[in-house]
Amino acid sequence: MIKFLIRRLLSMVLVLWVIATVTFIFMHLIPGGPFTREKKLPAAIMRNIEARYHLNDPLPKQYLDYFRNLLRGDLGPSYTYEGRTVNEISADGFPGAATLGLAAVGIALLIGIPAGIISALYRSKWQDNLAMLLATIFVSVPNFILASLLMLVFALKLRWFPAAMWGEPSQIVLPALALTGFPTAFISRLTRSSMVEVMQQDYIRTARAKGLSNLAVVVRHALKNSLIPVVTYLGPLLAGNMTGRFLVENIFAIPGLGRYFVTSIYNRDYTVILGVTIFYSSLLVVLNFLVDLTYAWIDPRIRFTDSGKE
Amino acid sequence: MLLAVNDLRTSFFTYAGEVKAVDGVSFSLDEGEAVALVGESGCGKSVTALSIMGLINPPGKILSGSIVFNGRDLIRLSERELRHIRGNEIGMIFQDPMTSLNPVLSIGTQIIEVRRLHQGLRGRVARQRAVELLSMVGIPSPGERLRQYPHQFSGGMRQRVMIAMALACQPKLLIADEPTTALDVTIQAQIIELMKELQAQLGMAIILITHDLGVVAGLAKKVYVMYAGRIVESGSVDRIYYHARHPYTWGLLASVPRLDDKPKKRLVPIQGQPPDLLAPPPGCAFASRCRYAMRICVQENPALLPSSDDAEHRVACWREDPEAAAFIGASRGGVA
Ligand SMILES: Nc1ncnc2c1ncn2[C@@H]1O[C@H](COP(=O)(O)OP(=O)(O)O)[C@@H](O)[C@H]1O
Ligand SMILES: [Mg+2]
Repeated sequence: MIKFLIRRLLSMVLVLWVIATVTFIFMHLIPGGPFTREKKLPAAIMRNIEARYHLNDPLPKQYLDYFRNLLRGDLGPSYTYEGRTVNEISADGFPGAATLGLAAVGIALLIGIPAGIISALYRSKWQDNLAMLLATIFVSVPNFILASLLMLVFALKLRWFPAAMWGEPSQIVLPALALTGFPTAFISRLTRSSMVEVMQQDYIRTARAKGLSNLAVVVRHALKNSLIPVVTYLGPLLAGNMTGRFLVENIFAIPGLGRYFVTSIYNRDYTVILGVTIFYSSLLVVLNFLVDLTYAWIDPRIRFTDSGKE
Repeated sequence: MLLAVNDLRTSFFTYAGEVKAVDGVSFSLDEGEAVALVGESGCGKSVTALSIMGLINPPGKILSGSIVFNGRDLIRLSERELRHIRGNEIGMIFQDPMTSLNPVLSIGTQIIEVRRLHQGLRGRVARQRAVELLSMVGIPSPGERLRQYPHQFSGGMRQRVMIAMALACQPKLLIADEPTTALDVTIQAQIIELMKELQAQLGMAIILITHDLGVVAGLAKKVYVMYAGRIVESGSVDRIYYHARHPYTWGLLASVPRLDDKPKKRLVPIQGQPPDLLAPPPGCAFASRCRYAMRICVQENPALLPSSDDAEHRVACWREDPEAAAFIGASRGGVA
């Protein structure tokens, strides 16, 4: 098990390094730089600025410097937001995005899994048809449209919730609902299809032959098996939602990471691009690792082939 | 009498039409008796077993007949009452031990579950009992094995676990649906031997379901041969092995691998395919594959009647009819 963990950790670091390096290279391949303006700055000033941010150093040196700082946990200064570091920007945007993301994913699991199970158990009955109709609708509606609709109805017309801004619990409801539409629908479909498949397995018949009730068969023998695909989907879903969804953040005026990332690309704000990319990838890598651990917990076959035999 | 199945009919109502999987099957067994249900794949053996267990799901339905177990007709019981019988008074094991155990639960969990359900046994007592069950079915170091998962067991060992599970509550009847089909030949013999020992030890009745007449002799005293949802011949193992009267049974016997066969010798499968149960032909279902078919065979179904020299030996074949005997007296005989 220890060996397995160490190997996983090393590969996680390697993956992050590759992503950061590729981003670094591509970023510098895009024409223009953080201080290129439509009206050219005077050459002397340009030189001054570049010297201050070490942008006139040869690229390999910039690369090494960046990674040296990165190892100390320093993501560098932002080039466009005067006086702010990338660390500050991430610390600023992440908590909001993460709360929102966790709320959205939480709702998706709480609704999606039971809906999927009910659909599977009442296959082709009205419960199933209704749930799958809703799922098809919510899978196809983009989150920014859902966001606009929710805002229109619940904030502007009914005035149940505030339309925008961030900070109070009531302000989280609408954006969380907007973000949860797709994952809820997707999770309910995933759960349904894997539940249907699991219920046809031989070991389900064995469980019934033991005299277990239908409920006990589902809870004790089918649930764990049928959640495996959902767990797989959970890693990228969490990462995506915790780092923010640009359009939804924009609609509800939420200070999240997505906004910084998109503007940083227009601005060639090198350190923010790299910083947010590394931050996002780290989160993704760590979450995927957690997903793998969950897998191993659910499925002993994985537990024993991946670590037991080492 | 422990179990009496009488004129059981179970059909599946598919989009294509009604599949008469079991079409008027009757048999019975006493307490502690072992019988075999034999026939090619698709002839309705599993559906018969699942009907007894009350595990026929839509689109399947038991249409008529009775299944009297211990004086109660199982067909008339509620789902709740049936649940009390399943796993408790009737245990069942299945063909494929590789897929019949839940891969994500430990063996111990799966065995203990049965006793807890029916007898409220839990905690250390339940574990102790599970260890006893595993050693009873011949699994070495049972205490350790209890914590392991199905994929850590070989096929033969898994079937032993299945047997332990099915016998956990000391049922009066064990239904074994092709318990050896998925296993190697040497393991097959071990499993049959184990079932025989357990029967001697625990005294339960057994319905052994198989397509292989070769594995029957070790265990069962009586054989029911099934074809296309019906029983076409039944009798003691001796009668079926040495004095079979139905051409289908001859075919089954000819397809049994024998230890004294030369290794290269090809087995003789029965020519042709079983009939389509969606649209069964009129007359005897075996007629189209039967070398001895007469005109009446394709017109009318023969009844299952006692043979001339042994009332316990029953055959459903027009060749047994007194009128037919005059024509075919010469061709009567054992295995070709
Ligand atoms: N769920 C089902 N739906 C439709 N037909 C079925 C179903 N289960 C079994 N059958 C049909 O019933 C017949 C008997 O099947 P079965 O009892 O499983 O045969 P076997 O003797 O090999 O155990 C087969 O023709 C099969 O196609
Ligand atoms: Mg079968």
